[in-house]
Amino acid sequence: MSLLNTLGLLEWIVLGVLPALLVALYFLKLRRRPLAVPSTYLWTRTLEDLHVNSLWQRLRQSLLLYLQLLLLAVLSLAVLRPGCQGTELAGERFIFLLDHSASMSATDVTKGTRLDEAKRRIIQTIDRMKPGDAAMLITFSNRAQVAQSYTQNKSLLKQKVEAVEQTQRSTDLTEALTAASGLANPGRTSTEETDIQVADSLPAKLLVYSDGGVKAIPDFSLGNLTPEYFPIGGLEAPQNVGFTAFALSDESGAEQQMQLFAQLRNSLDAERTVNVNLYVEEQLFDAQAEIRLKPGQAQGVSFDLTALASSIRTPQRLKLQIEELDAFQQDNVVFGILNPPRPAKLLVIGPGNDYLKVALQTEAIIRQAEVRFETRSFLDSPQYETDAALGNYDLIIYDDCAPPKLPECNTVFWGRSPPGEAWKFGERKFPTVVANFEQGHPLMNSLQLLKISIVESAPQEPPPGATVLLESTDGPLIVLAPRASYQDLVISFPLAELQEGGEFSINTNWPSQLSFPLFIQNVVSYLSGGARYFTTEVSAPGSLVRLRAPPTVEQLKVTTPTAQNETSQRGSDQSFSFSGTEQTGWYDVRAAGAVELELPFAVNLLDSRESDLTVREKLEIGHEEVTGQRTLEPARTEFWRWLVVLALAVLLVEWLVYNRRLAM
Amino acid sequence: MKTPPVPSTLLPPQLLTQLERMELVSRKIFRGRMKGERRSKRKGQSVEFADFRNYVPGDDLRFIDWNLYARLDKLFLKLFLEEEDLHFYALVDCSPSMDFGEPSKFFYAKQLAAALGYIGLCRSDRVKIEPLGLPIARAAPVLRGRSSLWRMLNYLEQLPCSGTTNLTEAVKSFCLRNAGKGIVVLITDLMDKNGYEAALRALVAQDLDIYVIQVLSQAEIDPDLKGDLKLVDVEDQDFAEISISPRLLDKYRRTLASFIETAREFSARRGISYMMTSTDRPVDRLISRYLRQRGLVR
Repeated sequence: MSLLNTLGLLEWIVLGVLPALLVALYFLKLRRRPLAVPSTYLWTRTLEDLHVNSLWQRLRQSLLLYLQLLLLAVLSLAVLRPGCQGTELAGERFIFLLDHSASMSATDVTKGTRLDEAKRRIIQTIDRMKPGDAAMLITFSNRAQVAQSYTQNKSLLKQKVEAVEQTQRSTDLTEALTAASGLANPGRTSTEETDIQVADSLPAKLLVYSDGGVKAIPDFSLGNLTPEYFPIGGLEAPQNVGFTAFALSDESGAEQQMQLFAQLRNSLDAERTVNVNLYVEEQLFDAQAEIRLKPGQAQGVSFDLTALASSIRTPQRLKLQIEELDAFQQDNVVFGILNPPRPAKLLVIGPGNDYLKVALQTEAIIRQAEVRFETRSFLDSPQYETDAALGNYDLIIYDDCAPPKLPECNTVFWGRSPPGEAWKFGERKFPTVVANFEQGHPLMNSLQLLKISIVESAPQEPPPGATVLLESTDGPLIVLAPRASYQDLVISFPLAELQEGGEFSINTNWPSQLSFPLFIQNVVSYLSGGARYFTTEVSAPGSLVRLRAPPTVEQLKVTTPTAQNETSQRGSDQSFSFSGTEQTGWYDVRAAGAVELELPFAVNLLDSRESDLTVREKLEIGHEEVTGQRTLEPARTEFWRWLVVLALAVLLVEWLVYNRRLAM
Repeated sequence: MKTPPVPSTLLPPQLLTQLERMELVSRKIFRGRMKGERRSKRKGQSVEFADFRNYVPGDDLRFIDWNLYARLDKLFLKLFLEEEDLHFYALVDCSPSMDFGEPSKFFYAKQLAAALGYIGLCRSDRVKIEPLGLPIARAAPVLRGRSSLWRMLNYLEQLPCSGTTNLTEAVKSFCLRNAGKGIVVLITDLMDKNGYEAALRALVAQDLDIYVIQVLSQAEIDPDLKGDLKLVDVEDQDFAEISISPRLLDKYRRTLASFIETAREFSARRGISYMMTSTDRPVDRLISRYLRQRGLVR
């Protein structure tokens, strides 16, 4: 048996005063009114009979008092909400999953944002928790965080709920579910196997407060978790037009051209017309008026920036904005950076292979890279050592040769194994039959390699984490492996080998095929970062951004869109990483020292799921479909306490009226 | 003889004319002291012949029937029925318990006594209104004749309601002082904690024609009380604490009914004519209907 205190201090005081008041009224009643009568003779005789059972009589006289005291006691007890708890039911467990992704900032609820509404409803639920109930709070966007582990402290929980901040991230429920599941199901850990269980695995109620804009999670078992989903947001999806894609590209053939592409999406059931403005360095640069968007459809817009791109010397901040306001503002703006053109630096060391030479001198490559050819003897020169150590080149291609030490840049090894233990070449095999190639990789973009013939090749044993791009029946032929912040592309068959007579013997017919120059172009674009000089990759809020800087730079200073300065130290892999990308907008990156450097990058949401503000009525978790509870029940306000208090008041009034009536 | 108008609230004029036509009736024939309008058991000087008897020396020669002497040569004395007055006593209880009700029981008792007394006065009866419980010094005058009405009313109006509370003592005192026979009407509420039985027995011993009229106020018959009360007895300051409930009131009514029944039975057994009246019942109605039925008046 336990009691639940539902009363405030004032209510307690009122309740405490009531019995005293009742007894006081009773004494008021006991003050008998004297009345003169001619004779008490008959009354005495009447009472004599009654006095036979005088104890009962006395009880009867104050029976009303006892009854009312009893009623008062019962009512007081009722106010205390007594309850019984068996061992099985001891303390329910709740896991609150609170969505604070970008779409929760939509203002289609009665007051504030969807996040405010969700917080309000969680706090209501916390208020209704019984003593012994424990709850924890997990917030999630594209990342989950345990804001408060299991506690019975309601005020702490409420405090933590209040403290949850709006993010601009996208939504991913998986991590949050994994965390919750680890706490509810035995044998599962919250993140990794080495994790120590932070709480006993007990069945729990999983209360998801979200607008439901999450991916279906098909392969997830809830186990001990009982999910309940509370959709947050208006019944009708609010008006929203937002950007769902953005790209700066120069890949439009031979002509040097810079295009800005963006995709607009109308998630409303009605047609809308919007105006889109393009700002360069906060100055209106271009605009597209009256773009018609059909219901539920996307529409692209493009701006030609060729003239701008060729004329600039410093990175330019681009902003594309929809003029019209709607319920969700975050996706009405996209940010971009337009970098001035700068050619990549490329070093080719080898015996002077003509195929390679020709392929590296195509117009497309010349436009984006400065290529320098050196012979094998250059490897021994001090110039090479300096260049390799300082990373003066973006990419070094070792054709049929290998340096003693890997340089501080991306590399391509052709026909030779890179130095070190990580790579192993097997015995050369003849013939080599190409079996498979990784078609989706950018390096293999628009290539057809199954038709090439290779005479001899050495199957490789790549280091862990490597991507096999081309495979023969004997083993991998072309492998891309990460090395700290660099990547090594290792091709285990030579194009041609320099014979003793100074003659080249052909090892493959690949150079005679169209796929060869395309492959070389891909290599230059991908590994020397040719394309990066024009545009910067667009990052999503909350993602980790890797920054590269010359070796002389020790520290980078990052200025966030909210004008906060943060520093980034060079990591163990020689690159700089920055994780504070919570806001969408431009991030200025400058070298902390005297070195002149500008590496700005932009962060954008660009998530069609976030931009679609429709509140999903169902969540799919594993094979289970959780239907949202839009009922008003969670928002219920309890009036029974006031009714009981009213009953007490009525009781007192009745007592007063009764006495008055008798006294008159 | 013309009755002077009496400015009294006790007997309104119309009641007086009504009463003048009435007559007190005794179920017994008593010997009066003075010559009255009633026949007496005693042979005396009236026109109505009763009997003859032998002459003995010393008899009044005026009553010798000389015609018989002439015929029989013997002396006979002619006896006539004596016409005598009636002794009427009205005993009014003057205990403080009578001073209750609206109109008060005491006023009602005085009114009743005055009315009955007036009937007696009109018939030249010997009327005496005796206040019970008052000191002997305040003893009532003996009244006779219609002309005494004023005296009677004056006396009654001056009677205080502050006598002793012991009915028996008061009645015994009356019996000692008034040995004569006649009609006695005891007007009381019978509310004596020592009991009324001894008082009635004392009256019975006097060989009187006894009437007991118990006067109760309506508030006593059907009390309209509410709440928790401390009932204080006006006579002895005794108190009874009660909490009114329907059950208690019912019990009270039954006690009252039983009390009245006991009194009626006690009276009937001893030849006493008993009746209970409420102060709500008008005196003229009481006399002209109820007392006529009981045979007290005619």
